[in-house]
Amino acid sequence: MKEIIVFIEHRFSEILSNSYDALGFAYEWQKLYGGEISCLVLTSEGKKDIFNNLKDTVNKIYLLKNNLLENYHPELYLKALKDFLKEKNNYLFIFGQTGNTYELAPSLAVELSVPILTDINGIEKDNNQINFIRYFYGGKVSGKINIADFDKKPLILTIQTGSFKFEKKEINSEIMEKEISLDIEKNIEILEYKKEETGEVDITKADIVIGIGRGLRDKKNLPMVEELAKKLKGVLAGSRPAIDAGWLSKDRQIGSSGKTVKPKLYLALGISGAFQHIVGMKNSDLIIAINKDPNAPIFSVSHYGIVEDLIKVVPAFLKKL
Amino acid sequence: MKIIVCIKSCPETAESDIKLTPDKKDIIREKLVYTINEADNYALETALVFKEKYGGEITLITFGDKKSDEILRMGFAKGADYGIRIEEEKEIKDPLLIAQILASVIKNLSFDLILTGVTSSDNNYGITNIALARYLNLPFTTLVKKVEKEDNFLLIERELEGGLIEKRKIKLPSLLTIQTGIYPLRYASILAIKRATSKEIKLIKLSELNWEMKENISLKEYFIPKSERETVFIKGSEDEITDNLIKILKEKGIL
Repeated sequence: MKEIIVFIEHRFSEILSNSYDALGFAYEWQKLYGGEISCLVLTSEGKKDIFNNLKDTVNKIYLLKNNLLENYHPELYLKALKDFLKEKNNYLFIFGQTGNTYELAPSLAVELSVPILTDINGIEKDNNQINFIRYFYGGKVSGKINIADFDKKPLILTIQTGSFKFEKKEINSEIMEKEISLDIEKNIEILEYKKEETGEVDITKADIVIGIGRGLRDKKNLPMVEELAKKLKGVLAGSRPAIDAGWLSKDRQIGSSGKTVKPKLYLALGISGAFQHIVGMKNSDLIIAINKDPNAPIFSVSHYGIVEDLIKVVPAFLKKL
Repeated sequence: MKIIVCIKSCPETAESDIKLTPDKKDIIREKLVYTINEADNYALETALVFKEKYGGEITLITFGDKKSDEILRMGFAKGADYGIRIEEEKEIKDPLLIAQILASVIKNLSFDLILTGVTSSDNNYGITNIALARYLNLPFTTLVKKVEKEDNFLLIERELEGGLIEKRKIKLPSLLTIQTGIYPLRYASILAIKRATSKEIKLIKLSELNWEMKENISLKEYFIPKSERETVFIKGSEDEITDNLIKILKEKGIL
């Protein structure tokens, strides 16, 4: 049976919510295949207390300590994880998908010669196989992926943000604390963290958010949506393509690498709805989407949908407001 | 500076109608337009900016079929110097294997920096790039939104969750994965596109390379995801649609 090990990522003395997604997946796996769940925490002596919330939710907590591990460092983390896992035979090592696990998960898979799958949002038992489910083509298609000899060999997974629920369980956790050595030559130095500057409008505080995406097509169509935002007393925000195209500033980006909003109305204009965007808006009270593609994933989280080109609908709508 | 940019040809699906083949093992590709993977286009742009600033040369590498020549030629037209295509004689699903194939070619080239996109718009694994760095034993950094060169290292800003930025220093040679939006994209002139059609692309056959790993990943089938909500679609003429929209907003107390 596989040992299920969940990587716990922390930043500024807090566990990232993505690690709870990974824990949620671990419980789901346990329901299907059994096995004990462990958490792995890399930390410094001074910071180890922040993991108290994990106590009594899993069978085992590995605390691997070194004063160099106070904050994330790709080379040191990789070395620590590799040394820890190479002693084990059959395991499932689970990361929540984050910017840092984009670095860690594939590099660890190479170091250990272990198969890897990223951004998993579902699993199902299928006779003697297991189907790992994830999105392809920006969320328009889902795929069931099989791994050769999945039960006999180790496997590394990353879990898509928000796709599994974590519920606290009452289990006595065994704590395994260990000081580890990290003697490597570093090629990377982490200098500092900074917050993206916030402009004059805080989109997370607005009751009405009008989100624009690729479907706006051209900067010349911006005044039309600005007028709509004004008339609805809302603020303009966007998906990544709208920010990359320079239509809106970075502080107005909604999604996993931007902001999360929960307004009374989210009006999605020409947004296809890649899951990186959807995680940032799907809990809005009312979601209305306008998109000319009837299969756009944005409709799957919308209360109301209009299959039309926003360039036609918005001016007609403005005339009646 | 010698820069290698790994690029991939992907079908444009964000704005296209996607349907599955009857066996559900693929999407129907006939009508789709293939272009350079969006994030790779920004990696190419970063290379072009570096070449302008520090001189040097750019080599493009892709693993793909004949269609992929188009993205190499587009790269030439924008200013890339060399292009290599590794012939995709059979489709490979496992990104670790693709990384090994790329590594077996790149290890024989001289370079200071490898650039790729953060992830691909088709499979969205985000594995090949960093795996490639490890197979070549290079330091790596993902999600790069800003990069400057100083002596033999790079100063980088990378994008984390919720608008957080991490600043780091990384030694050269190394591999970076470039996030979309790092620079505005340039367009190639018609004249440059014309000139690029006669430029030579070096073709390497998979069978000429030494690679041993077997594929661990297989696709059982695709399916169209179920809607999370019972979406009510507002239909009719423009007039009816907008009237309905206003009615809904009034009912919900928004107007």
